[in-house]
Formats: sequence, structure tokens, C-alpha cells
Amino acid sequence: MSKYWSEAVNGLTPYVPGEQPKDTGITKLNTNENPYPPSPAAEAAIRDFPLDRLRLYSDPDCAELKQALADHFSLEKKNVFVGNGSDEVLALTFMAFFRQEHPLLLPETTYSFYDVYCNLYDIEYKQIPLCDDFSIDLNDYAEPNAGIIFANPNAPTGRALALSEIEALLQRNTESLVVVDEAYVDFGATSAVELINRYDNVLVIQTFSKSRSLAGMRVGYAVGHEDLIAGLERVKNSFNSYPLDMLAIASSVAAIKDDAYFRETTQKIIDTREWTEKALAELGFVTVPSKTNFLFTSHRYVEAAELMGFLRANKVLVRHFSKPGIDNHLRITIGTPEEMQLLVDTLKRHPDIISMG
Amino acid sequence: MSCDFRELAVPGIQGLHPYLPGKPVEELERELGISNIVKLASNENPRGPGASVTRAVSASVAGLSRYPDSNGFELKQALETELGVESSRITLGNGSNDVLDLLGRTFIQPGDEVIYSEYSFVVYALVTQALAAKAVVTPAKNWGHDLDAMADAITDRTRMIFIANPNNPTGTWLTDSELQTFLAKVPAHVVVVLDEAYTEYVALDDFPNGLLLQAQYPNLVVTRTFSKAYGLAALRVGFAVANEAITDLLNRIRQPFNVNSIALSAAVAALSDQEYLKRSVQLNTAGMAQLECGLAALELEWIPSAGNFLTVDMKQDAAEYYQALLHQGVIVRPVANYGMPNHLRISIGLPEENQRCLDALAKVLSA
Repeated sequence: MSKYWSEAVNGLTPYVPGEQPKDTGITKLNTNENPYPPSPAAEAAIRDFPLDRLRLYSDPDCAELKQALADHFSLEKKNVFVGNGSDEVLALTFMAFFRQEHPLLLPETTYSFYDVYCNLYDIEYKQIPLCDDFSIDLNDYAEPNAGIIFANPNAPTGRALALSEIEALLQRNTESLVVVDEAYVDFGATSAVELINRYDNVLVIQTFSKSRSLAGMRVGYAVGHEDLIAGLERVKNSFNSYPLDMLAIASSVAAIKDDAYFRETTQKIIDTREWTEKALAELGFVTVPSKTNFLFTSHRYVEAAELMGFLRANKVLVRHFSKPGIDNHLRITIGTPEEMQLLVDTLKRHPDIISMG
Repeated sequence: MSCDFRELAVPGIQGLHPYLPGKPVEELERELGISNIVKLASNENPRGPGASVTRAVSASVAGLSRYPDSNGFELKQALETELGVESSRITLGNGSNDVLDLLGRTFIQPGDEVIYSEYSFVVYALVTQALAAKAVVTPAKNWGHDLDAMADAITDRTRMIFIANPNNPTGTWLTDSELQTFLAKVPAHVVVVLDEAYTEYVALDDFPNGLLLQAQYPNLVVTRTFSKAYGLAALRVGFAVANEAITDLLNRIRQPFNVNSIALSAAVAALSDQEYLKRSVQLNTAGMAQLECGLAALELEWIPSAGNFLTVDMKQDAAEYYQALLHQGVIVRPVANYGMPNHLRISIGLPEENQRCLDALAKVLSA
């Protein structure tokens, strides 16, 4: 069938999502989902929705959600773009801005969608290695480029950059777009949203899938200068003009307005992360400092692949990447305190970890 | 900083004119300060979803913190049961618009030729232009597809042909024999996309079922949607049926989570409720007769339609009639962007909505 393929598809290795098991006895710490349900207000927005309206197309402009986000960030509606998950917002961003004469610059180890999109949309890119401690040094992004994209905090490492480092990059890199993917920012890092009023070449992308517990609804957004947002709108409307459904809009509007619940659940996850990091350290793990809802961790003696298999055999799923350089680390999502206790108790039963104690 | 991002946009995107969807009710309410508006502009189902969908939505609320099933296993199983199509031939999309877009991006390269008919669904033109391909637009015959002209337009550079059956915005349709005669002429290197968004409404003899034809013609891809007869426009679910190789490709480039959890469950529930579908079709057939009767009484002419809409010839620039109807609280669809400035497309609604529309038409015609 290769006669049918466009060149870009030919070279494509699709993104592989984390496993979604049917077995309910399994503890899922592999897809960075939030262990807590969405805000009760978001659930009510769906339960109380006048379902007769489902026969109608949703508002193509998603005005209600854009306005709610604008209010949340003290911006204007024209500074907000919404899409079917931040994955789609990223895809449209790549399509709209990054196919240029120079390569797109991105970290060598980061969210694996970026190079998938580059290959898909025929975008030249250059991967910049991380530092030895898995941090990103933005001083390394100094060559002519079609744009710069990085996740802050980075995935799957969990490390965050300071706002001053991002601002310094914007002062140096004035001729191309800088995209900051903040999927995990609410778990302890500092958002770059405040920079968009001062720099017209920064786009900040966030999601409802993590800190707002709405992964099932697929809602992501970008905030930036109105010209950037207009470019995204143009691309979106040219392909799929109704990407957000009514229930996604209703639930995310309710979620963004429920600040108390958001603070409570993110703080619980931060507390559980700190507890887990200490417990893992006692078992001989070395963990990269995390500002996310996951830990990127490596055991002093036992190989990550071995531990992943052991945990899996004991019905605990964590994520392991076979990519060289990070293949001796596990990425462990922060679940409830009970789930993390189960993780730690399970690890304690591994023969090589027992013998250390 | 001095960066002009309009200049940075890739060539296909720079020249695009975005799709303009039908005016939402809320927008008109805001603009005119009126309520009780009838919207017959977007070919939506006039009936709300059935009880099975309502139950499915409520049941899906638990579990929204988890990502959706990226393979849509249960919905594909339901499609397999209901439509007799194997899961391995199904690609789910965020509405059929999403799969049309995926098809374009899978197969079309800059400079390729894409054939579609005059007066056919605007998304074909948008996809073609966005991918910097060459649009080969064949003139319509009686407002519908001229399949002989489309076959004659095929060259070595042709990569894709879009056909809508029934066609939007005209409602015209192709018979099984017409379509098969055409498909037999299309070389294997050309992908034929048969858009069957309105197929559930059709109860005509000799009307083709693309799903059956797909098994016969490996280069045929059929797209369908839950937005029309299944009444789930708000939830954005469509799908493509293709051979396994093409399905594999489409699944490579789609967003892994392009259909959300509630939409997946609601679509399964909608499929299980074939009684709802039957009633939707009955309502449409009756509404079509009602509108045709009323339009004839107003001495208006329309294009015979197999869809859930009628496209009416106003005999002069229809823009004024469109505005006048808005002021009567009736939203219909101008189709000047399709090169049909004298026509208005009217979606078939509930009996009382159809009557409101006919009354409003009578009023604006006599003004």
C-alpha cells in the first residue's frame, strides 16, 4: 500500500499511549492521570446539561470557554485558543508556525509528541541534549531557528525552569516563536503566562487533562499574543471547525472556575509526591527533583526495566522508556496516598531491594 | 520584536478562507435581541437524543480523570455488530470532518490533483487548499456530481476524489449503478472518498451502500457521522471505513485521543437505539413532504433532495431573503460561498419549525 502514502506518513512512528487496562484490580501509575475526580462542579455541569442540545453543533468559537479562561488569567478572549486536548493545540501550533527555513529547536528528551509532529508535518528539527542532571539549559538554544519548544516542567524528567530563564530566552530569541508546554505546571512550577503581555512571540500551552482531572474530555488551550491566536484559529477552522464538544466546554468552564477544589487536589498531589520521593529514597532510588504529578526515578542497583516488569507482575503499572539515556529510569505517576503506599510496599518485596535492607 | 507570523505560516495556510459554520442561535439572540428562534441552518437532527444516550452520558461522568480508550474498542465493536464492518477497517474521528482531514493529510502532497464537484461540501476544497494540492473542480450536472466528467478528469497526478452521496448543500444523489460504473473506471492509485454523512435518511431503490461497495473496491473509503440522523452533532463523532492498509495509515496520523470518553459512550448508545434512528428518518421524510408542499404553494422551486435539507431557488440574490428571515427568527443557510447566490438551504426540522419557516418565507416574499 505504500503507493498511497504521502512522504511524511511513510517515515512516521506513531505516539504510543500508555496502556489502559480493563482489569480493575490494577493500580495505574503510568499515564500521569489525576487520581482525584474532576471538580464536583464539572461533573454537575455534565449531569445537569440539557441533553436535548446534543443534537446541535457546538459553538465553533467556544466563546464561553475562551472567556472563562481569559477571566482566569486576566487576559482577553482574543488571547486564548482552545482545542481538543493540548495534543491538538500542539499539532495546530506545529502546522501553523514551525515549517520554516531553519530547524525547530527542542530538547532531546521531552514530550515524545514533538518529534512525531515534526515528522508528520514535514518540519525540520534539531534536538538539543539535556544537561547531565536532566535539566534544560536554554542558553544552548542559540542558533537560528524556526521556533523553540520545550515542556516546563519537562517530561518525562519532571524538572522545571525558572521564569527568569524563560524570560531571558525571550530577550535573546526575538525572531521566532517560543512555545512553552505547561501540561504539568500547576504541580509546583511557575507559569510563563504572565510573559505574554510583554512578549508577542511566546505561546503558552496548558491542558485540563492533568491538574483539572479531565483527561477523558480532551480540552487544551494556548494563550499568547492575539496575532498568534489568530494564526491558530485560521488553521483550526481550515481543517476541523468543531473540535470541542458541548459537554467538554461545559465541564471545563465549571472546572476552571472551581479554584478551591483545584488548589486542594493539586496540593494533595504535591504532598503525596514529596512523601513518595522520601519513601523511594529509603529504598535506594535516586529521583530527579519534580514539579509535576510524576517522579522520574532510578534505582541505585536494580535496572528500571526489571523493576517495571516486577511491578507489572504485581499489578502496578508504571512507565518505562527504552530510549537510550533515560532507559534506566521509571516514570511513576503520583496517585492517591494509598496507591503510593501500595507501590512502596510492592517494591519492598523485590528480592534485590529486600537484600539491601 | 519584528516577527510577522502571518508571513511565517506555510503557503497552503496563508491562502485559506476559513469555513463559516451556520449561525448559532445564541449569536442571533444577542444580535437581534429576540428569542424563540428556529435554526434550520446546519442540517442538525431536530430531535434530542434518546434515553439510551442520556443514560450513557450520566454513566460516563465517573472516570473522566482517565484518558479515553484511544482505540475506541467498544464503539468499533458496536459498529461491527450494527453495520457489519470489521473493526480493522474502522477509523474513528472527531466528527467525519476529522477523518476527511486525516485522509487528505495521509495521501495528498503539494501539487497532487484532487477532484471534486462544483457545489459539493466545502471541506473538500479546504483540505485540498490547505495541503497545497491542485483542485480539479468538475462542473455539476443538475446540481449534482457529473461522474463522467469526474472520470474524464483523472490524470496520473490525481490522488484523491471526493464524492458526497447524498451531496451537501444540494441534496442530489447517485444511484448504485451510476456509482459502480464510475468506480470501475477509477485507477487503483486514486483514493475515492465517499462521504455518506446523510445516508441514513435515504430510502430510495438503487441507492448504494458504500460499506458494501468498500469491500469490492479497495481504493474506496467511506465516511459517516453521528452528527445527523443519530442526533449527536454536539459530541463530534464520525468514522471512516476503508481497507485494512488505509485504516492502519489513518490510525497512525490521527490524534490518539481524538474522540472523548463521553462521546465514545454516547455513540455506542446511539447505535444500540435503532428505533431512534427509524423515527428520525420518518420525521425527516414527513418534514420533507411538508416543506415541499409549502414551497410549492409559495411557487418556489427547489433541488430534489435525499438529505435532511432542501435547497431552494429564490430566483434572485438570496442574501436579502436570508437577512429578512433572520428578522423573523428563522436561521437558514445562505450558500453563496458554494457559488449558489440565489439559493438558500433549509434544514428539515420538527413540523412546527418547518411551519414557522414556511410562514416566515411567505412573509418575506410578500414584503
